[in-house]
Amino acid sequence: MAHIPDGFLSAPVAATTLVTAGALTAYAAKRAQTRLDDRAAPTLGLATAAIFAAQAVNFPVAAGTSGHLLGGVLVAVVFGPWAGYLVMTAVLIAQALLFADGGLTALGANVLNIAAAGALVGYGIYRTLTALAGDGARRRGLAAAAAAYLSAVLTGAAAGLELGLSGVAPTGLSLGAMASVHALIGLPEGVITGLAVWALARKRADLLFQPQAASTGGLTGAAVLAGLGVVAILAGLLSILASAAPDGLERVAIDLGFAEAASSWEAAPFSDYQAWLPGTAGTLVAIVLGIALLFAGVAATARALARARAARNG
Amino acid sequence: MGFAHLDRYADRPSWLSRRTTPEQRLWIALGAAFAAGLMPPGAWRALAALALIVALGAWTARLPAGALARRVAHAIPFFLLPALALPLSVPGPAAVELGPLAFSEPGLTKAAEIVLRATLAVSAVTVVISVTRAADLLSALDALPLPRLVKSSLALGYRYVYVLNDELERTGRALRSRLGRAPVSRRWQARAVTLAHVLLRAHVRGSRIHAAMLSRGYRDGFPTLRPASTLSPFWTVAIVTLLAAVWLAGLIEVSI
Repeated sequence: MAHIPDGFLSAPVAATTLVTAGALTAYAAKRAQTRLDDRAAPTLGLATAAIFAAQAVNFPVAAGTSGHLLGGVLVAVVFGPWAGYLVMTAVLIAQALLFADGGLTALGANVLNIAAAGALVGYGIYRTLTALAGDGARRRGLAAAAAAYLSAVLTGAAAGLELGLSGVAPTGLSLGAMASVHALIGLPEGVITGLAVWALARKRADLLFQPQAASTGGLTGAAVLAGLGVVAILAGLLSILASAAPDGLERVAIDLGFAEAASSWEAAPFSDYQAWLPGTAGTLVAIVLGIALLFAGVAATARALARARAARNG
Repeated sequence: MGFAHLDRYADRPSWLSRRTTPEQRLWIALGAAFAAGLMPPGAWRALAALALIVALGAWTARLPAGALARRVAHAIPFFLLPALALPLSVPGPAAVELGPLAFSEPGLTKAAEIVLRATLAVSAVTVVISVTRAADLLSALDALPLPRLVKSSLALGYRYVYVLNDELERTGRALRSRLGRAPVSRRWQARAVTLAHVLLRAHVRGSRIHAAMLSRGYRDGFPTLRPASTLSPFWTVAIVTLLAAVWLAGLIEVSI
């Protein structure tokens, strides 16, 4: 389950990942635009179509099950890390909206787990390995295979961490389970990516992404640093959340406590708790007022958005 | 391959499609996914209310129940399988014991809750998206605060995915007919070469489109002839408010 569906993540985790992914996407768009200029739109559009088409091809994994390529490292090696990140993000948005593959509330998490781990961190690993081992076709293929495999494991670990922090299961357990499942899923991903990059490097090495001559080391550093930065920011934010929110195991107990409180409240309608609540009429008024306020808020936001759009188009 | 099957119910007149534009429906889909997906654990009554709203929405969209069920069922394995692991992995008192397997009570509750939330979110999004054409939906994405490059990637990706998919199928067919009884390693290599080939084609096609765009005076973004809608956003605002209210009710339900 590389794509996290709706209903698994808690509100704080969903919000944190959405905001982080949004900021990263804005930065990536800037980087890709500067690098590709007016070639950006057609290049990225066709790369998106290619990854979409490639993901439709299933290959056998084990015991009759089949999987498909994620392709983050492959697209980054051909089109560059920032372009690859944007392509993977576009693919994830289309999958969530059109095919209900991956949730809309989990979109931020899925973008970080799949697009950032694959195209940014994966490309950083690939670049570092080729810088160390040289860039013959075979070495590039091996570096890409290793990068694709490692980034798939990272995808699983990140998803496991997010699920754990959401209180779905104890963090250690979900982290271990997801990482080990992806250590298996990552094998075909690594093999296919490695063979494809090897074939490309042999036949048309000129088409593979070349870091700009002026900043040969700089871009590698930037990609690796960006990946590490995202991981660090996420780890920091999530650890704050984790210390504020109870740990998975305690969380379950509290949920159970909630359940008990709710049932005892129903069983004893004349308890002190009940007497403290306002009467039925008061509750009704509060509900009506609350809904009116909400309606006003949503309407105001909608109007502001429409006005901003009109201003932009006009 | 095509998106035609996605647009099968898009042109049916219905209460929902008459009163909302594709762009407004996108906001409703987002609202529903957030209300269902982020419903706090333990808010059973709010979840039930949300299920009622989604069912009502499916009715107003005039979607055949079978079609809706088929589309939702397609997404169910994605969340059912991981949810099924929870009763076995979340610690707690066992509710059911089957030989060596102990299904813990908190695990069962959690799994039921997650499956309910996920089913509701998927159903709501499926209802709203089913009555909207994929092309309209993509142009409605303009309203979202996404970088222009992501939007143009989605639009061009939608336009060219058929072209590249045909290429992939043709290459794949040619390879299969030549491979015969080739060993497994050879087959994997063939798969990889097919993928490399498609990426190459994407590269070449992209440069051709770029040249064509320049020769036609391309300057940032795609000009569209989308008529401005005069439809009032009243119903959209009402539906999103209702969804937000149910989500807040869920928050209140678990905190008292």
